[in-house]
Amino acid sequence: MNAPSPHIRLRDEAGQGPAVVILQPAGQPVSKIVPDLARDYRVLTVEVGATAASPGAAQELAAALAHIVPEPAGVIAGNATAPLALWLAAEKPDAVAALGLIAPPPLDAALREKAAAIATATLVLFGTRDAANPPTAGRAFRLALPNCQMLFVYDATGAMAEERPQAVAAALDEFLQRREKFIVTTRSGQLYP
Amino acid sequence: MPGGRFRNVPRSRTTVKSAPMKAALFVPVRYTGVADSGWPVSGGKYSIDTAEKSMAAAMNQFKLADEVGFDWVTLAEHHYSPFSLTPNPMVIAGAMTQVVKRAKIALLGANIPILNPVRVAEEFAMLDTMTGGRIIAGMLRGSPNEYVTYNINPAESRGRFEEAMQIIRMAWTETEPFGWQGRYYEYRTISIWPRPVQQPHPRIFMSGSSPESGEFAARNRIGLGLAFTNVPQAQKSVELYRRVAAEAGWTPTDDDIIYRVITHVGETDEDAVHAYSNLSKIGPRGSLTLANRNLESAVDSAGYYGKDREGQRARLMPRSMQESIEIGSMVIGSPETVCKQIERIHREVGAGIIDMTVANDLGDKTLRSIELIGEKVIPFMRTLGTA
Repeated sequence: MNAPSPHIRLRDEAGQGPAVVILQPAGQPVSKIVPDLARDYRVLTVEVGATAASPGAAQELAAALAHIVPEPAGVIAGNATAPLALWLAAEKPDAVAALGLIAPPPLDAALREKAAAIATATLVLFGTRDAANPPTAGRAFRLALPNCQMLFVYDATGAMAEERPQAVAAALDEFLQRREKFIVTTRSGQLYP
Repeated sequence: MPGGRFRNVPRSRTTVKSAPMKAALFVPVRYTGVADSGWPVSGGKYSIDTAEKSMAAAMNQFKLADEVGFDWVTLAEHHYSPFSLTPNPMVIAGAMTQVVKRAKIALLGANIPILNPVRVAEEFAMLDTMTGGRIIAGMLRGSPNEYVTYNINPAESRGRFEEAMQIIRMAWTETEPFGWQGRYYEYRTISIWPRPVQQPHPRIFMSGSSPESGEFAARNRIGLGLAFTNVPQAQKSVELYRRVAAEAGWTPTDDDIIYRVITHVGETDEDAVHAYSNLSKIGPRGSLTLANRNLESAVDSAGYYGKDREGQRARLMPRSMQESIEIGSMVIGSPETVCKQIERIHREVGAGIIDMTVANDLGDKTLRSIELIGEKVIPFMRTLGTA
């Protein structure tokens, strides 16, 4: 990526379709959810540096992403990058089609103050075996963000994307496509025609 | 009638004292008419009138049990057989909330791997609300034949059970709508109404007859239910449960352990034995799974039984009345004899809740058995288990 930032780097690109950006810290392997998502999406794994999440960092990220994703993109972030993704949705809502936050840490004071204004469709995922960010932590996101769904991933920790990649990718794939409507299944229950 | 200790059973444990021993009455709600054997059982000889009378009689027995002092009345879930007319125990429990005014109503179970766990959570919460918090939530895998009922693969029984239980607990405790991305279950939004009266949720019991189940119960601080069992088998199950619980950092009390036992009490030993012996002429009383050997073989080959396969199959095998009494899978006799038999179960197993499977198709003798337990056995049980 020809990004105007030393902190931000395109690590990997896979698939075709609507754009999905996975934000992750530098030096991590490409997520195991990428192959499944790449069937329906153009999946861009973007490394972000160690800068603290803030409105300024979000502006910097938005400028970098604009070089490769001109249209609004689905944004997926893990524990380390979730605050930055939320700031991106707060500062540049037109750049973010939907948010998927995997085991996000509790909202800090600044984000709590801003949360009510983040209208972006958001899915927060918590693992049922995650001691650091247990499912009960999801309640705060549901209450703070006006357009937030909460999903518990069974038998998984905060590393759910590596432990249960198919389950996590399936939920994100559907949510990023259908956003709020994803609570109504479109999967057929018919066994035989 | 044996009066001493069980044969070959060492007195091996120090009882962990807790609340007074509890008496539960399990009424299978058996169809009291003529029916074929096997499983599933043909409906060809089914009588609507007999079924109505069978259910009405069971309701009377539950009501009487409540009046004479039983701590719990219990139900089970069985399908496709006259052995039990409660394929959905939640339905009859709903009716029982109107006649059982004091005792707790224990549903042992719901067979959660073959059901919709959100529906189970909702129904338990409804019943808990209707009783003001008198529901005991049993969650079982069910007997192997039940997997045929709703076309569920028995090989996936344990995985479905463990996940379903977590969904139910989460549905009871999480106040914000949530979705679930499981292995066997997927929901996009769960937010049940009504919610349980008991907080954080009703007491949960599960079957601990297999080693895997006992270990799971211990790791998750769930009460242990032992049915179709005997004292030597139950001792092993309880020992494992207590050991794994200790590893998990807690100590079960006797009040965490249910021992279900076939029970009939008469005025004398001879009366009780005579009355119960006549029941063998009426209908099948053994394992539903073993009633169909082809089915049992198919379930076995699917891997249902787990690592104690031989033990699990052996405990389902039919035995003579005398042998059943000696190994503690049946208590029968006068009140005095039954008190001794229950005391032995309590002492040898460390179970604090005796769930008496009443012979519910003996008419007045069944009612008298329940009365005698209330008058003479329960007061004795109250003296056991107290610190």
